[in-house]
Amino acid sequence: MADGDTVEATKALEIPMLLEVPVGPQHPALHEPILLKVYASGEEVVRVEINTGYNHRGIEKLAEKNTFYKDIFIVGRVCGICNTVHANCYVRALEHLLGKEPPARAKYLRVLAMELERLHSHMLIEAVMAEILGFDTLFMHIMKDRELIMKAKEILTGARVLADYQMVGGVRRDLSSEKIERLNKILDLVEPRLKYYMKLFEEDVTIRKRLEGVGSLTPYDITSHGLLGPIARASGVSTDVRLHDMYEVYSEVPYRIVVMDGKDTLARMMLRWEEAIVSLEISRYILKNLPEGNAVPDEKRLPRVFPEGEVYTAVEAPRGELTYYVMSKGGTMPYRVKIRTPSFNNIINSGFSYIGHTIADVPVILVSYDPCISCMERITVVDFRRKERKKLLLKDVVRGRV
Amino acid sequence: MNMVFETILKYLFKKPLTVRFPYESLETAPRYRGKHEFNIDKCISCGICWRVCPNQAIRMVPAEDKKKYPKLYPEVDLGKCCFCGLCQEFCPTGAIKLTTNYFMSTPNPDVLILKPGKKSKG
Ligand code: SF4
Ligand code: SF4
Repeated sequence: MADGDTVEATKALEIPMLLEVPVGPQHPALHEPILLKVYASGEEVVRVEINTGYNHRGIEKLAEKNTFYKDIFIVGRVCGICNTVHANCYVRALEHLLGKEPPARAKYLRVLAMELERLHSHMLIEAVMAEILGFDTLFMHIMKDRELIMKAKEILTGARVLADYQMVGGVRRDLSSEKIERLNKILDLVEPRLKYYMKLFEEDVTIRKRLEGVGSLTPYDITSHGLLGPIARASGVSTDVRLHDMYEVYSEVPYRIVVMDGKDTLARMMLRWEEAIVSLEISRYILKNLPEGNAVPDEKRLPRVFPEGEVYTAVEAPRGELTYYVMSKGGTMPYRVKIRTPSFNNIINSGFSYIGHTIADVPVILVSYDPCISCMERITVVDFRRKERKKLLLKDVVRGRV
Repeated sequence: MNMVFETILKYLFKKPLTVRFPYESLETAPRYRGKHEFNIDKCISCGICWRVCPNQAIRMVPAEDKKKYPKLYPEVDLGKCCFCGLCQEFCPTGAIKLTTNYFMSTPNPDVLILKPGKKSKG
């Protein structure tokens, strides 16, 4: 960027202005509207501003105005992809308040639902990454296999997406041996595919070229910016609530934490594949070792009034640590429900990681953080010499009519 | 490269994964929560379904045939419903049930309000 009027002949290609490229806030394929204002000098990103707030629905306030039990279904709607983890975190908070312990079978089924969810969530973001890289067929193939997991979730919970599976003191639907067989068959179909995709991401030249060394985050960046989940684990920071808290039955299932040292976008994507395979192993184990007993509580006999108290619970959502703070002052409604989601940390705090990369790398880095972005057709040109801003169609920029 | 040809050959002789929609549709799991079915003869007008509904999708309204059904009965607004299935679970007589029918898109929003005592189409 030159501030004077004269442009040196040696820098003939330098564009004497900053381009502001809004990435967002709508994306036709995914949820989570977010706007990244990318300021680019030529091809290089010099600053990124992150704007959120397009999807504020007032869930926390809504939770204060409804009963404890209705809130289970309201918090499940915070996010479509990770609805069972939200419900699990909230239900466990209620169970702590009541001093209730769900039966072992219910805990196993809850973990099964959550691991199936992690599996399809990771597959979704891998598919989106394939699409961003231009591999549309790969996108279709991953989505096709993801559909099998969605079917498994439907067999278990009764709905493909919004499970509404958990209730204070257990789960809402039990699993028969015939259904276990069907689920096992689906897992058998999916496992070789996961391994194939993993190999593909590891070996494909184009994928490696686009992802390797892009958006690197050192462990210091992770801890100083509070990044969570797969992003932290891909930079060698071993953080996982499943390991630290051992909630539900994670102390009994064959869970192993996956940590990688690659630090870049490729490491994050590889880590998700590896975690998907771990989730599949956990699901298999649960289907094989499901304890006997009654997992479904009688919903009509649950206590309506809750005692006074405060609870803070955490779960490992597919995107990182998700926490709930529930405060009760007695009565039938919570006094306060505070939700802290991992995406908020991961997206708001990660603006620094785009700087120095090209505009084409911005979507790749953003997708590797597992949110959703949008394709836009407009850009704003900021002319610092004339101090004016104007909006242009992208095609005008492409044709050099700026 | 071999893998590519293998995949192509495999899919060449397979049935398509998609279904021809108006003629066929995807099968749902038996516990799928879809459109409601309401049996007015079983209903005792206790209003529990109205009270438990987290979305306030249920209103208690008089039936059309007031002589035969003099009390208030639940009217479900499918546009507000989140298909949690609480109404079905809490109903003491099993009058309200969720079926596996998921064909609910319509250009006419009035169809989405299930009036008690009326046979719903589709
Ligand atoms: S399924 Fe849930 S949201 Fe729908 S009417 Fe019944 S209780 Fe209300
Ligand atoms: S449908 Fe069931 S819960 Fe609702 S009013 Fe009738 S009997 Fe009561």
